[in-house]
Amino acid sequence: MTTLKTMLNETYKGLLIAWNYKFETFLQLVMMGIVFIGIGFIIGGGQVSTGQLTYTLIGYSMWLYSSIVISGMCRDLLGEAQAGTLEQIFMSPVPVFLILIGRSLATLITATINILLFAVVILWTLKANISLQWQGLVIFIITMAGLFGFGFIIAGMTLIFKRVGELAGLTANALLFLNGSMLPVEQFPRWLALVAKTLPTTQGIILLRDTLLKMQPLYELWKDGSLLLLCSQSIIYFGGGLLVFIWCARKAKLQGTLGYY
Amino acid sequence: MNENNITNKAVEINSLSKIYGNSSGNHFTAVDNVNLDIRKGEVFGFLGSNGAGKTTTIKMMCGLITPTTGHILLNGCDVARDHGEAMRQIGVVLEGTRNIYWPLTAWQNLMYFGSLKGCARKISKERGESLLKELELWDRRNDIIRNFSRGMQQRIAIACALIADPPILILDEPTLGLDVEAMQIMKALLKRLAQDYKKTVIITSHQLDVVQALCERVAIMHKGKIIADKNLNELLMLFGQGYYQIKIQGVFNGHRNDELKDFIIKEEEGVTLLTGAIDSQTKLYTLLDKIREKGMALLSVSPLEPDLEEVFLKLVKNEKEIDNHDNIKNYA
Repeated sequence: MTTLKTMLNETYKGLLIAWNYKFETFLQLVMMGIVFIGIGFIIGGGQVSTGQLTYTLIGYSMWLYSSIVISGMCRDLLGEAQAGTLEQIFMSPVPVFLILIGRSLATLITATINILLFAVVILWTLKANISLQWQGLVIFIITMAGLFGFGFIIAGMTLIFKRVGELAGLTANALLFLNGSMLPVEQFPRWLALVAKTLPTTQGIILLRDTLLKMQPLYELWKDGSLLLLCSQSIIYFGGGLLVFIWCARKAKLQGTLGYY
Repeated sequence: MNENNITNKAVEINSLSKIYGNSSGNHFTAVDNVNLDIRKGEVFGFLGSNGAGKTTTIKMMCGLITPTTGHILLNGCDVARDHGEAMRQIGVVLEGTRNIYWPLTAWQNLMYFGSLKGCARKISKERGESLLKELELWDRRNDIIRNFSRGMQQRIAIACALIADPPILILDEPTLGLDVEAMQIMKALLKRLAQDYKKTVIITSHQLDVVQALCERVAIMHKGKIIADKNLNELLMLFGQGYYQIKIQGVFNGHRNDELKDFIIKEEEGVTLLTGAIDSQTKLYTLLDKIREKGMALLSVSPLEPDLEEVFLKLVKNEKEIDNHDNIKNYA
């Protein structure tokens, strides 16, 4: 019970801090919209097609999640190291990886509010719609588990190598082109498609499009093995990510670099 | 219950070492076989120059750095094996300008750190209120920390460290960067914590007057080793015994003979002050006789209050001389 309370306490603190940066968040939302419309024009060859945009919107939204989670985890940890609060977190009686999960929940909530706002405005402006189904929510949650696992790896690396920020930014940006946000993975060269499918969110985007746009039920996705692939990837990323984070935290304590920035 | 729980030791450090190595095979010993016990309710000062190993030792006590060898018990709880329980024993303010969240209010910080330490919300609220009132910051509980002065931020950091009522309080450079007034408030607060709340307080500081004013016992670190660990008075008497100040009327017209070789001689407004060590009463009387023979009027002779800064500098100087001597021997 105490552990759960500590995790939720971390979530609450994350939300309080995010609220302090609401003006910056609003500017980010505007920026997201401009970039998305721009991408729509490029993909549509100078025209905005509603059908194409709803397709891209799903991928772009998932990429936004990737960007917020990957860059955010790295930036937050470095920021806390600089502020001296990171070491305070490591002095909690509750294991730090559980606190990290609580913090991830805050990131997920703030990212969801931002991205939902962005998506609603885009859909309303373009008079488009996406049929929301509960199957989509299941796929979204599984995809997020994998994405946060990947975020834990970046967070762990941040504890040891303090210059991971640039790499995190680069990784987040590369995902825009590699996870099928813009172009379907099937159109990639075979080798690149194989690489892309191992990345977090790629399989999630494919399945989200299948459920939300092609209306495919979950059991069909399970039958053809694509949902199983997503589940396996997310379990590996989440579990592996936590293990990497724990290992990196131990290494940072051995090197004495935990509070460095 | 662990056997150590019923002893009078708040902190037990045994054979603690930290050796850093790099890929090219170079090694650096930051902490070298340190053994230390700190009693419950004691106000303990940790002194040392930059790089002496104090902060590394403190961080190993807090479980933030893994020791190469040795172990640390906090109220009987092993930091390495029973991390969770050990962390409940301490409240820590580490060196640096921040330890709390600047975008949050004082109250939000207190509630957050209470929960982080596993404290129930109701208890955190009660303690938070009492701490803020005690620190005279209750009226500013809903203000953002960023808008506080440095001294107020430091007081909030201490309140956050105390929110879960830990028996041991560890403060790494608590007065660093504070102005004179804020430092006085901080000294008074730390004194109250030790006297009224019976906390074990461990302080590291470069400001030796702060340590001298607050601590009952002091350990001095040099190059990762503890070179002195004594009660404050014993430590002061190490070099302080036999220090005198002789005040004479007018200008000193004598020679710097053997008795006055290491003396500091200062002239101020027609009075000369001779300050230095005299290790026996016979030597003191000989010196006074010589002053009389020169016809200088003696105004006063007073033994000097020993100063921690002087003791610290002498101990470190001695250690450096031993190091140099060893280096020369090794080279030869």
